[in-house]
Amino acid sequence: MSGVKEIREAIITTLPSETSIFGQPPKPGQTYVPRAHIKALQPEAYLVVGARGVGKSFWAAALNTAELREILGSSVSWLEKTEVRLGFAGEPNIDFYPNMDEFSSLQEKGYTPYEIWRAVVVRWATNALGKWEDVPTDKWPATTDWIRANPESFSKCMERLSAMFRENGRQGLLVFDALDRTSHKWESMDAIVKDLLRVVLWLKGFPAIHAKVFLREDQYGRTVTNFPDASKLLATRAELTWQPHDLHGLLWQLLCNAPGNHGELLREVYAKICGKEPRQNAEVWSLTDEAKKEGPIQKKLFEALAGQWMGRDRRRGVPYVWSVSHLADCRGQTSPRSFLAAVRTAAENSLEKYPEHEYALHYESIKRGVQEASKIRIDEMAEDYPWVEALCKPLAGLNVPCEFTEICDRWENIPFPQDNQDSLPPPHAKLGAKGYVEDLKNLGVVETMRDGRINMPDLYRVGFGLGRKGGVKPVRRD
Amino acid sequence: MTTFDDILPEIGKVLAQENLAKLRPIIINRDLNGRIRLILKESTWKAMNKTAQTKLVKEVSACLGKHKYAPDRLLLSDSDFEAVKQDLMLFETELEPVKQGAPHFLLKDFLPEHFKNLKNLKEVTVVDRLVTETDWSTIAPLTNGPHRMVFFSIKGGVGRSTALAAATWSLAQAGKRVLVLDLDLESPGLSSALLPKDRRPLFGVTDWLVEDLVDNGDAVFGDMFAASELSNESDILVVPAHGLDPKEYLVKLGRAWMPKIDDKGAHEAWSARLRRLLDKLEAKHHPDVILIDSRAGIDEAASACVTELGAKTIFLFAIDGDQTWTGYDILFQHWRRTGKADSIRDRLQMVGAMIPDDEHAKDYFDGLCEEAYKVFCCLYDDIPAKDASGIEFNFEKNDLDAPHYPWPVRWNRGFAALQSLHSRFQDIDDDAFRAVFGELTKRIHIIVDSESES
Repeated sequence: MSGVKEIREAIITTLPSETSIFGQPPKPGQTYVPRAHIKALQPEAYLVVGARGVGKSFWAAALNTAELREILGSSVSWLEKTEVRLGFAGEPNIDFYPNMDEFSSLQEKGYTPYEIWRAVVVRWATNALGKWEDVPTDKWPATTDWIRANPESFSKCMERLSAMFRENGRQGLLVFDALDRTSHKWESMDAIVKDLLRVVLWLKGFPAIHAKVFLREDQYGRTVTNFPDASKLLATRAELTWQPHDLHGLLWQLLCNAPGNHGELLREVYAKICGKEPRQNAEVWSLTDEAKKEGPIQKKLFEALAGQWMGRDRRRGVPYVWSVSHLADCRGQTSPRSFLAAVRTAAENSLEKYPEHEYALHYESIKRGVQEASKIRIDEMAEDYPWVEALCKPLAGLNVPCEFTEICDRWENIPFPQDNQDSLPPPHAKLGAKGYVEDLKNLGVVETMRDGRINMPDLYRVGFGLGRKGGVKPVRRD
Repeated sequence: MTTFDDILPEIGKVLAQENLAKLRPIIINRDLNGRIRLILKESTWKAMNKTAQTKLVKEVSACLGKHKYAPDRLLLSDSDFEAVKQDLMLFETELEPVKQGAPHFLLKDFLPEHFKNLKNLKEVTVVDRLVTETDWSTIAPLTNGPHRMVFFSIKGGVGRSTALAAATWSLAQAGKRVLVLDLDLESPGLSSALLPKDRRPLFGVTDWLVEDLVDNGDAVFGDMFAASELSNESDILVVPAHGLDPKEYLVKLGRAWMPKIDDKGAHEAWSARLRRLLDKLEAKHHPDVILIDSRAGIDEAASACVTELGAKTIFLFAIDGDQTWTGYDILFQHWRRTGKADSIRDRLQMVGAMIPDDEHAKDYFDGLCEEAYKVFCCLYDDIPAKDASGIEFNFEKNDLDAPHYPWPVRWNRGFAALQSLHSRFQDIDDDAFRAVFGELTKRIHIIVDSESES
């Protein structure tokens, strides 16, 4: 059918082939804001929790970049009147905040993280006010000493800062991201994060001054919120999760903003289902609300690409749901990167293997795409949690579900991830094998069944080279 | 003391010996009383030397304990050899005909994977002679006619018949012409849900099965169904287990399961007779879909319903309990061992019966799903860690579209007792109905609708 081949080519060209548009500054057409994420951007959300790949660093970058904030502008109008400053981030900026070595050095000298973070705050304040008394801003120990010695002056400084913002009808926002780069030891990182949250709580006391801390789930899961009044932060926390309809919305956002002829073709497909073309604003096309929600329109959109059923037997599911659910981890969460990768691979596979098929994406291609996405998801995971790969690679060849002891046997001869590597080890490493399983569970990589056996979803199983148990052995059929 | 289940592994050890390679093919025949004999080809036996023959007779004899002919005859000396050999072995020129008509499977498929020298047991077949005509491993091919759906459960009292009635009503409301067959002859009751007393037909399935034995089926065929007026949108035709007055039901039942032997000596198994009845009903009433209430439990009547009527969909009702899982495991292991897994497995669908509708619901359901997954694994293809073909029939535990993933039927007091069902169904509260049966009926519609389109 004419059009189908072109649709496939359009999808292949448009969707990212290598792992990441994430991490690089996002282009306007690729900026998709799920409703749940808008909540994360509101001033009252001091704590934002999310796994990698769901845009944590993206959002921190977006908050700090004027052009991007302009795009988000209508959703988050308050941002226009906000001065944003990074209190910590992946990129080094030694004047604004200490790096890992500096943190370590300061802690060795006896400074607590609480004091260090307040030093970060005071540097911002003096910068914004132009000057405040004689706060030293050249070396961190000096700034931190000043904090220790001048609590009252510091308070006054913050009050002045707050007043200044208010007079100008503006507000200030300190953003903290990539906190896993503050230390490679859990004990010190816990202290660093916990004290940061206490500082943030203290900042709440100043009107017109806000803070936003982005945490990974594993950081959040520890005892960092174990201090008085932490509930005030927890109550308004936001979680950056992608619901299935958000993933589909993202997909169509990217497709509708494809360059040149590809974009025209895909917008035509969109228009046929939605009744009209997407809204255009400068160079950017945006979807109707209907196309961003779970509902018949979104379903029909994916049907236009992949058909109604995952095979001749209608009991085996609908592509709209199947493509997302089979990319889910044990917590039922699917990452945008895996989903887009799966769709792209499906288009490639259909182009090659099913040229005559009436839909752009053949269901067998979707299955193939989901399998390929496993490798991508594993890479994604490895960027933030290298220990996951270290623990799971030795499991290759096992069949799941399997006994806990089978896994322990595989781990017998490998060096357990230690503290002195280049990144944080598993949070519960001290508990040994049980601890590792616990940590893998928390990341959704494995689950424990009621009978005690360990199970791994296909999302990880395929890439890590494990099989899945079945009673019917392959050679039997002769 | 050797018991029935010990025998095959023991014989396996003996027959797996290297020097017996030329003796194959071999049949291990298990008769009606559980006595074992080997059936061998005359030619291969004669090719063995006397020492090897004697050794084999001794070793096999030792495996069988009391499960042999003349168990008290011992091989004490050479003169006993012929007699003992005859107790133990039969000889045929060809072995294939021996297998016909009786359930059989390969010994190597039965024994565990790690069994020593398993590869030496190629061409060793176990043949069972059974009283019952059916054995759960004759899987009839799908029929070409309207979709036949069987409702089965291991335990009774799980709401199977109620769910069937609900599905019937729902399909009729959607304009489908539905034929309902109550094959739970030992525990009939479906018709009470769908027919008030003044609409019960004169005869039922049992009557036809009895009359058919003397070629008199036509005398009752026209009066063994009734139309339910439950739905205004379309016709529901009900064929009950027995008529308005069951009369001598017990003795009729005793004959219902008989095979038919005609005057020429041709033999028609009970299940084939049932299939014939179904075909006749289809031809007369032209339904769009046929729903069949099976007998609960693992017995020949249930077996015929599940495997021998060419049903495209077989609903397996389950509540989370040992009895249920043991029962399904027995069944599935049998299908796997007899090589029938791939013929039957894509017709199966687990249904979660009486799912609680309170705060325990999720927990209960997760437990049910996990047990269902475990028992179904037996029928799934093994996916090797390397070189998977990609077309293996296997599903993840939480895969909504898996045959093991239970379609929920929620517990509801109002629908619990079948007697009151008819009046209850009359004034059906749409919301209550949907809450209990909504998911099941929605998915049944999807299955049935897909056929009208193709």
